[in-house]
Amino acid sequence: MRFLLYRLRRSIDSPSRNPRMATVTGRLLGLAFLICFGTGLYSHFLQEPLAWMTFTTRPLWLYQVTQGIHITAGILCFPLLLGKLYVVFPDLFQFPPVRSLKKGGAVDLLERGSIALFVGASLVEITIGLLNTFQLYLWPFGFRQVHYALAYVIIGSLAIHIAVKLPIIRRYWFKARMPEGEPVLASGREDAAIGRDLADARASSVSNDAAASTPAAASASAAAAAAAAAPDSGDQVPQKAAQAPFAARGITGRVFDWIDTTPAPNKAVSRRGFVATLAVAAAALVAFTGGQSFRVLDRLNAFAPRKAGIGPQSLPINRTAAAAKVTETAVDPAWTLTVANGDRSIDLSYADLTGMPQTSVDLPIACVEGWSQMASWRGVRMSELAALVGATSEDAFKATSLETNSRYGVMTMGPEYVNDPLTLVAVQLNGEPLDIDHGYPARMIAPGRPGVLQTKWLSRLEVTS
Amino acid sequence: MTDVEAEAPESVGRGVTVVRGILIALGVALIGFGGYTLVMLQPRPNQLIGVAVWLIGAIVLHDAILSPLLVGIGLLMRRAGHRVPWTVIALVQGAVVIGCLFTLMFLPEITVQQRGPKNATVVPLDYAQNLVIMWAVLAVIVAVGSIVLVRRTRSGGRSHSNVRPPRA
Ligand code: HEM
Repeated sequence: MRFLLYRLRRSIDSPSRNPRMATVTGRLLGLAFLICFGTGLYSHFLQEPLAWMTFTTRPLWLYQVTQGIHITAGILCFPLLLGKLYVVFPDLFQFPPVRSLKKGGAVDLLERGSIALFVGASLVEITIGLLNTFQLYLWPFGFRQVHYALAYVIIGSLAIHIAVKLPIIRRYWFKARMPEGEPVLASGREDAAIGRDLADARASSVSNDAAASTPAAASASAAAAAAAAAPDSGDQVPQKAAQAPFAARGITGRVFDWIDTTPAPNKAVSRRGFVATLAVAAAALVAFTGGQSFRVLDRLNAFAPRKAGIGPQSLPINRTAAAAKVTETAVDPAWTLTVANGDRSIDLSYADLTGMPQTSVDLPIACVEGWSQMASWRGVRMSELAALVGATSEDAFKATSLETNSRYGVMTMGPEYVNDPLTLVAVQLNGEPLDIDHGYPARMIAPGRPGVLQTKWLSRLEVTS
Repeated sequence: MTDVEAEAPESVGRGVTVVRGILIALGVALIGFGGYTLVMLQPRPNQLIGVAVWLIGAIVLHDAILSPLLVGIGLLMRRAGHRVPWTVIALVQGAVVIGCLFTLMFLPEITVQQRGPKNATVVPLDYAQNLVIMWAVLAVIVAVGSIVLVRRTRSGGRSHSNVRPPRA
């Protein structure tokens, strides 16, 4: 069994599968994950701030960029994670899967457990993340809640994984340490150890194999048989001699034999091919999807779920008036916007609102799903409405929408946004009255907040105690 | 870590041990917090079972299906190494991997289009057509690239050829 697993690992070995490559892909993946974690947490706390939190409203494009990066780096996680898993795949067949406790089995158990958790959680996280941006929900749980909780699990298991692999990571961090031609699996288990594995296996299956008596020799022949047979430009015919004792025995023997007669890949080409594939995949993904978040890439946008300029008044939307069930209440001539502070309260009709001093601002709509677009808004400053009911500069507001069937029907706005001169109760978009799908008769628009908090179809603004 | 230590990775230095301890403690705390958050936010059994099924399903799908498939395809392509230069094989492999990646990632958008998106600004592009174009471009790159690479190999330039020149 052990021998079989060893042979299996060797057979599926490839030049891209080494600890240096595992370190390089791991580094990039770790970076992408940390970027996603940081930007994700920022998005989370913007929506669900802890009591003491206050946010910056500048730069105006802050959220647009952090969430654009979240989605774009998230999309990059697909090739990075799959590439990383490809590099370490042979380690799945390590034998024994968990060493006995004395020989470091506790570490093995921790390592394997944390990796299983890490791989499972990461694959689920990026998959539901991507499908969520397509608005395709195929699971029986809440996306946001699970995406949020798994983020901690992923970063936690990543920390444990790094802790376990720390010596190898340090060893292969710099290219110079990469031992050329020395066959080491991505696990970093040294060739000598693998040689000993093989020597043990041989000793138990072929007792008269002289090589088994000296681990070093066994190591050397293992190396020769497996990978070293493929020098960069030399003869590629596999050296079957070293494996002769095990040739063509039963079905497994034949399968391995068939694999052994398969030419070993050219190392340099194979390694460069791997890196180039990863790089091209990453570049193509950014180029062909980044346009939904970053306008410079708009013309290349071929696969993103959103496209700048497509939508009513040339702006995409997430929730239509029909979905929000406001198609009648929003156009009711009796509509008023109520502004309240304790007992003080005023009702503003549409004519009242448009009769007040109007301000024009350019602010992006930046959706939690990563797409964003700049737009021109015109309306009444939030701070002026707050002053009408005598609110102070420390007051937070609660905004209520006509829409009642959504958790975004009620939104809270901290004083940093209320006081900002760019925060408007907008009545116009790109020079026209708001389209009903953009929140007619009036909507909120504030700098640096996710689109779900730019409440549409406003009906009430109230100081919160 | 000094180079001497680097030679023997099993014997880790004190610094490494400390960093390891911190990372593991941090990791355990984060996983614990994540688990707690999950149960708090998604307390219904069918939700939790759903998450577990997805986690296990993802591992099975990857380890038992996707990876072996890749290894098999890789081996089959390596067999072609008797006749075709490695550079060409690498080019074909790279193109196939990229094509499959894009197909896998963006096919669900076509599913959404068929089911009918929530509004017309969601998945508004012609993704099916764009995928076909993508594969066509990859095919052209492979075709042209292969011709160039085979020519270069034939003309005897120093390359990573595994195809032996014909005997004189
Ligand atoms: C390891 C990778 C990732 C981590 C650690 C991560 C983490 C997070 C976190 C912590 C949040 C905040 C959740 C909340 O508001 O409660 C978030 C939000 C989000 N993430 Fe990720 N994420 C990752 C990958 C992805 C990917 C690949 C995508 C899609 C391509 C994605 C799409 C989203 C979306 C759409 C949201 C907004 C959810 C909402 O507020 O409704 N994420 N992410």
